[in-house]
Amino acid sequence: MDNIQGDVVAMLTEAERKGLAEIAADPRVESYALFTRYGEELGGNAAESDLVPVCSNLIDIAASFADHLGEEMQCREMAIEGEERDVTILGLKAMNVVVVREKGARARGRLSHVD
Amino acid sequence: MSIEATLEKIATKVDGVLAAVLVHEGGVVAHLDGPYSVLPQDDIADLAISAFAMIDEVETVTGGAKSIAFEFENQSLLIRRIEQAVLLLILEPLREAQMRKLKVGVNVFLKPIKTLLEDMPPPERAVSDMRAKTLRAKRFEPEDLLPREPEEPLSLEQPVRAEEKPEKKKKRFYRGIEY
Repeated sequence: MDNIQGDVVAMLTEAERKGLAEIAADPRVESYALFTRYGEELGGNAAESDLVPVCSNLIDIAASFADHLGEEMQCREMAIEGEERDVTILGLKAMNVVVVREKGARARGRLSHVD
Repeated sequence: MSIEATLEKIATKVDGVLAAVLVHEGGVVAHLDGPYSVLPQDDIADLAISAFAMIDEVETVTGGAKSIAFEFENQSLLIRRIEQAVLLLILEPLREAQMRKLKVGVNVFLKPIKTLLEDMPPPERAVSDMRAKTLRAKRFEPEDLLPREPEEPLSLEQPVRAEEKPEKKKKRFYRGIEY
């Protein structure tokens, strides 16, 4: 969590902060990043990777699914099971969090449904 | 067994499945609606294009996606890759543990679907040719997440009939909290 600025941490709820600390400390988490709903990176340990632009595009496509399904809210959680890695994108109150885990690693920090 | 019959079996045997669509890179193979459908037929091609776009997008990060699961407010969605095709399942709102159980249930049907896909002739129209609608939907703005003000009545002059019951206000929830 050291690589996340204080003003960004202040935007998180207490439960979100706790969950994020668990994610940051999880040895099976390869990288994680926080970003705004508009794709700007807010922190994490995935700096300069292509993770954030990819996830920003995924959020757009998820919004397209939501449109077709008549959903009024954005996607709460998107879980991608990959051949080499698993990726989870969580929609928080003020931002999105993307977590890249080793394949098969179960999510430890549950951020999306705690509040 | 036909592909349609296999999709129907998925919908009847696997709890939580509302609608199923099978799309090959070459075009939509089959979709199940009828009693299970919540999916407007016009949207099927758009959903298929979005599913393939998403699989392409995550290739570099995941080394190739096997499945993508979405949790929305009122529905869930599972995209399951089957070689050159994807199975799209529209689901009841499922949480993480329920989704894991459902994936196991769906896995049982993957082998028969693969065999059926191998034996069928290529679809006539490619997915990308079916509809040229843009993929990009509006992003959800932060104000979408805030409670909305009730709309003002059109005119204060409008008479209110005494016998008319006031319309019940629809309950709105965000993450389980009414607002």
